[in-house]
Amino acid sequence: MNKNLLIKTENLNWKYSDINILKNINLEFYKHKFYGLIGPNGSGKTTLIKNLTRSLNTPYNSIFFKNKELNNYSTKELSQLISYVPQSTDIEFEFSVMDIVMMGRSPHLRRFQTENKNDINIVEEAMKITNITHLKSKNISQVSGGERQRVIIARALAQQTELIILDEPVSQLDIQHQVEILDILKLLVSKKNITVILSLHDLNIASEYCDELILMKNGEVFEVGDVESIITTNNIDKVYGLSTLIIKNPLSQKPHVIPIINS
Amino acid sequence: MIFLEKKKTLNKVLLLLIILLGIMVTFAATFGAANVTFLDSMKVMLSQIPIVGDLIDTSDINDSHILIVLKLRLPRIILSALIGASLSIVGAALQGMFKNPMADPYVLGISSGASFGATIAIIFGLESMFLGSSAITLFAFIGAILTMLIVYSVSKIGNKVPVTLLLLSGIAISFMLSSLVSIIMVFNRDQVENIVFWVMGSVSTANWNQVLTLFPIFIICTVILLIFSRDLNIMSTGEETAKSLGVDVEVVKKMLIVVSSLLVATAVSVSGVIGFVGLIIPHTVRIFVGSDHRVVLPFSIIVGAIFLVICDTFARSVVPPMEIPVGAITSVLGAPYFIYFLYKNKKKVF
Repeated sequence: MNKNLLIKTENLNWKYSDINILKNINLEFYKHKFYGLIGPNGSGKTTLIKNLTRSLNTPYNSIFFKNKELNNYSTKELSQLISYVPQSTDIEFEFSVMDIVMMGRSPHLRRFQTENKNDINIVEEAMKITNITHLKSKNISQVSGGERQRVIIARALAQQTELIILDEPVSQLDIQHQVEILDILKLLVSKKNITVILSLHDLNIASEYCDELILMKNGEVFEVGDVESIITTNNIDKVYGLSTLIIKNPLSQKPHVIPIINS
Repeated sequence: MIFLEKKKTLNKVLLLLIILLGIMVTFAATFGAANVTFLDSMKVMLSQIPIVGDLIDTSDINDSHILIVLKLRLPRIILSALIGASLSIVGAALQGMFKNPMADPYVLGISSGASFGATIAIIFGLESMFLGSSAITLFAFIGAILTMLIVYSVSKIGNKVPVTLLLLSGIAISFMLSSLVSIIMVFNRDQVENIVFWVMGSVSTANWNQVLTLFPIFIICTVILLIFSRDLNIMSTGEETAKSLGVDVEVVKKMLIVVSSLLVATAVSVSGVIGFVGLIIPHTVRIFVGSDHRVVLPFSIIVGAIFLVICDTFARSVVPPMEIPVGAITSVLGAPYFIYFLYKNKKKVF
C-alpha cells in the first residue's frame, strides 16, 4: 500500500432516481499533487466532487480516505481532513470577510470554545496567502466575485486540511482572476504540501496548472494521466466531439488547445 | 464588523440595553389608574430582590400601591418582556436557519395551530383550570405542538428536513387551520369577539403562574439557541458549506425546530398571536450589529423584550379603561419605525 495515497474510489456508482450519474469510478489521488477534473457539462464532475466531500450520501465501501471508509468519519473529523469550496459561494447574510475566514476554524473548536490567538494567527496567515488582508473588515456581500472566491479559499485554508476540493472555482471569473486563484492553489500544493482536486472547464488552464487530469464522459472516467497524454486531438474529439489543433505553448511547453471552427 | 474585534464594545452596548430594559419595566409599572411614582415603583421592585430588598424601606408607600404593582402590573410587564424576548430570539434563529428574511416564529404553523386549539376551547366553553393554567392555554399549546409535528413529518424525507418543504407545508397548514377558525366563527357568532381577541394577542390576563410557566422554558430554550449560534452562523452561509465545516446540519436543524417550537408554543398559548415582533426585531437588530448570530440572538432578546413592554404599556394606557390588543399595537407602533430604519439603511438589511 502506497503511503502517499490520500483518497481513492472503488467502483463508485451513484444513481439519481434510477439514472446512473456515476458509473464504476476507480480513481486514486496521491498527496501533494494538483488534480484537474475535466469533461463536458453533465459528465459527472460535480457529482464526483460531492461524493468525495460527502455532500451527497456517498455509498458505502466506495470511497476510502487514508484507507478508512469515508462514511466512518464523523462530520467533524471529515471537516478536519477535507475542505470543500462549492460551485456557488453566494452569502446573503452580513458577515465580515474575517468572520467568514474564521468559520474555517470551526472544525477545530469544541462546542464551548471560542477562537483564541492561535486561530487568529492561522486566519491572518490564510488571508495573507490569498491576498485578502486589506478586505478583512469589509462585508462579504460587498466584495467582487474574484475576491469572494479568494475569501472562500482562505476559509478552506484556515481549516488546515490536507486536501482541498474545489468545484469550478474559476469558471465565473475574468482571466486575470482565474490566473490569480490558480496561482494561489498551485502555491499551496508546492509550498504547503496540500493536495488540490478541482474541476475546470477551460482545457488550456487545466493544461497549464494540473499535474494530472481526469477526463470524464457520461459519468465514466474516460482517461486519467498527465496533461500530455490527456489533452490530445483524439481524446477531445471523442469526449467533446470537437475538432481541435493542439500546439505546444511556447512558454510552458504544455499542450494548448485551439478549436477548429468551420466557417 | 469583525466579531472578535467588536466583542467588547458589543458587550457594553448589550449591558446598556439590559439597564434600559430595567428602567422600562420600572417605568411601565407607573402607568395605570393608581398613581404610582417611578421612585416608588423602583423601591417596590427592589424590595423583592433577596438581600438588597432588606435595605429598601417601603413603609412610606401606600399598601394598595404595593399590591397593585406586585400583583397586577408586574406580572403583566414581565410576561410581555418574556414573550417579546422569546418571539424575537426564535424569529432570529429561524431566519438564519431558513436563510429567509420572511421567516418568523410562526412560520411552522404554530400560531394557527394555537389559534385553532384556543378556538375549540372557547366554543366549548372550557373554563376549567388545569395545573394552574386555563383550558384555553392548554388547548392552544396542544394545538401548536400538534401542528408543528404535522408540518415536520410532512416535510421529512428520510433523514432530512429540507427547509423549503418545511416553509411550504407550514404555510399550507397555517392557511388550512386559519380557515377552519373562520368557519368555526361563522357557526358560533356569539363567541366571535372572544376568539378574535385571543387571536389578536393580549397579555391582559397575565398572572404570576403564567410567568412561572414561561420563564424556565424561556431560559432553557434560550441557552440552547445561544449555544448553537456559531453553527447557525455557518448554516446561514449554506447547508453544503456548513456540512464541510463540520456542522451536523440535520441534527442542528431538528434541534432548532424542537426548541423554537416549544418556546413559541408556550409563549403563544399564554398570550395569543402577537405578530410582527419576531419578524421585525431581528431585522432591526441586524441593521445595527450585522448578521453574526452570536450578537443577533442576545440583542434580539433584550430589544424584543423592551419593544413588547413599550407596546403593552401603550395597549393598556392609551384609551383607559379600554384595552387595545397588543398584537395590533406592535404593528401600528413598530412598522413606521422599521420602515424608517429600512429607508435609512436600505443596503444593510440582508
